Amino acid sequence: METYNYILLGLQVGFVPINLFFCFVGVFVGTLVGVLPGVGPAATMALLLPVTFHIAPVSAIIMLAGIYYGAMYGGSTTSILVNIPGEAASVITCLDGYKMARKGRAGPALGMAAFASFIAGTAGVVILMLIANPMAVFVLKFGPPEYFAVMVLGMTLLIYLVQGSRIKALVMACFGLILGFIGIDVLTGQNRLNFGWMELADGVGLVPLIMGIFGISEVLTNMEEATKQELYETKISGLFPSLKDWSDSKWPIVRGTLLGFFLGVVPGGGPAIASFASYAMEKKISKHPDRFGTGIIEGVAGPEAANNSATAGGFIPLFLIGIPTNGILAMLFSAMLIHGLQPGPLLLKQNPEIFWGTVMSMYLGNIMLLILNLPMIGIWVKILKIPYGILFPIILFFCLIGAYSINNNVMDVIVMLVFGVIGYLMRKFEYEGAPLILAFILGPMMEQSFIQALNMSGGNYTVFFASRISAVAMILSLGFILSALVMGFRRKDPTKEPLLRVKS
Amino acid sequence: MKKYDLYGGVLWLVIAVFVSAMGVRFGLGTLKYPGVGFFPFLVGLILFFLSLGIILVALKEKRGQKANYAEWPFFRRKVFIILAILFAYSFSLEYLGYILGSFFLMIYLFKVVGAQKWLFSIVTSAIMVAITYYFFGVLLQAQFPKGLLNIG
Repeated sequence: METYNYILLGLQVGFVPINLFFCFVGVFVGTLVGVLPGVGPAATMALLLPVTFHIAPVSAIIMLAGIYYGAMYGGSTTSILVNIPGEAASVITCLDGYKMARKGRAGPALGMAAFASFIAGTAGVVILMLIANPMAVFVLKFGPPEYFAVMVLGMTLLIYLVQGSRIKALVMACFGLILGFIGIDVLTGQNRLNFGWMELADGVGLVPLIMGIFGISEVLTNMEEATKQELYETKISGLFPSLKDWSDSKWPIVRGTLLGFFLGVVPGGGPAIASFASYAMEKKISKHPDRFGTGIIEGVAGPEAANNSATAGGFIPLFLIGIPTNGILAMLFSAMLIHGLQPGPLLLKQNPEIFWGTVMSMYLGNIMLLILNLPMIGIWVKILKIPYGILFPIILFFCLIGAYSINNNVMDVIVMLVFGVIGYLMRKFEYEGAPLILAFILGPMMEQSFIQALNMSGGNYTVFFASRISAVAMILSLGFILSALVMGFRRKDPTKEPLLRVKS
Repeated sequence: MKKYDLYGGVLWLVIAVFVSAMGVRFGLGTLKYPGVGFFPFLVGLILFFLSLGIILVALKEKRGQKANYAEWPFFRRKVFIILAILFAYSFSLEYLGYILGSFFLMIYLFKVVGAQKWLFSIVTSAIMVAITYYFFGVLLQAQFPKGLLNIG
């Protein structure tokens, strides 16, 4: 009954004209950045953060969330038509989607990508809605030891699931933690690692950090590589997949949705991993695995479903536990903090309109996206034709203004550029950005929970194993660490190369 | 791992030692009641061992093995110049002001980086600066530096 009332509340919030407008802005911008190279949803959210200062918190969150799931739709368009993934989560769509386009089936590929995204996105929201309340009640039992243990598990999983070298992922996590130490310590008020530089007393800003690591470095790398835009000139017709296409795709969509949602909840999982996992699973259980990669619709439907339901799954740890599981959700997390909202179990009690309004707006957003991405596909194809020579200066310029306008401070611009250089070097040395961002966000929270837990227990470390939740989380973390050690830190991953070229 | 990872490993080693030392300076506290420096020290220590791992693996690589970084050397001249211009823009923003500084920056980016024609670069830059000034400066009330033109 309670859930029913909340759903009604969410619908009321979602249908307010201003919220509908910002939902549309979010999904439109999301599709746009999904299509465009050089800037991803995290950097875009960072860019639009100052804009949200002037609107109501619920409208702001609705818009930013729209950018996230909207980018998942847009990302597949470039994968299918240009063979350049718009998003990390669309890398795998290139394999069969582009091949379908080469065979003259760009229409059904784009159509199925949009329909699979829609079905999975909507189903993901339904699951999210159903488990939100019971989950919130469960999370209310969390104290500092549980929070610490869950965050340790999150960090461990992120490193365990990382695409490239694990040792480098761990180094990045340490670097993120170190960056998180900079500034005044929350518990004691003592300055750490800011070398008396007052501009850094509040620590390194998340927005310049994300824009530098993901935005600036991406543009620099793209400029250097001078990627040729080879838009596959084909007439896009027959966007509605045939009955046979549907029959081939129905189970991949169902499996992709469930797997994607689960991997969205898992820290370090997220849309990219979900799409890879779905592709691997479909190939494994298929009767004709050899046909994957030759342009079959199952190779588009499964991963596209998975990456969309993973975005809905990611909202569970973010909204209900208060732990962002990837860089993009970290951006949303920080936007909520800026608007005076504390993500976590209490959010559902204190600000139910934020959570339920956002969830309900996602239904509407998915419908808008279907319209934006099917009948209006021509517009996005035209945008793909804008030369990089015009696009990159504009993206760079917007990053500069975005960083400046957060605090009206040149220092933020300089910090962003410094991280742009670091991000650029990270790409060269094959270090991934996600562990850094997550450690940067979770680090201070972990430290705080750790010290609070020890204070609670009088310095007794068994407190981290005292409750069932924290014990399970700690044992799982240890298990993952041990298994990583046994299997070796480094493994070859065939998917590593393309991931280096895409934005987060 | 590639041979250039050796340099990366050494850099991380230096950072690890530095952060651990700072941790000691901040005060480690006790195991029961950790001080402000406890976490930095611990993270520095972990980073120390990780960087040792990276260095050892890099050293174990067969000599002469070619690093196959796609785009080496890592700072191409073009990227280096763009970065220098972007930093110069940031440092001179207070003096030049938003309108003038951004106008010159955009012309440079369009003309040199984007290889567009002069007329296109100048006109588009003017339009971009005007739109962003109106949107961010007027509508969102961002306080841009006034600079030489005294408009902000």
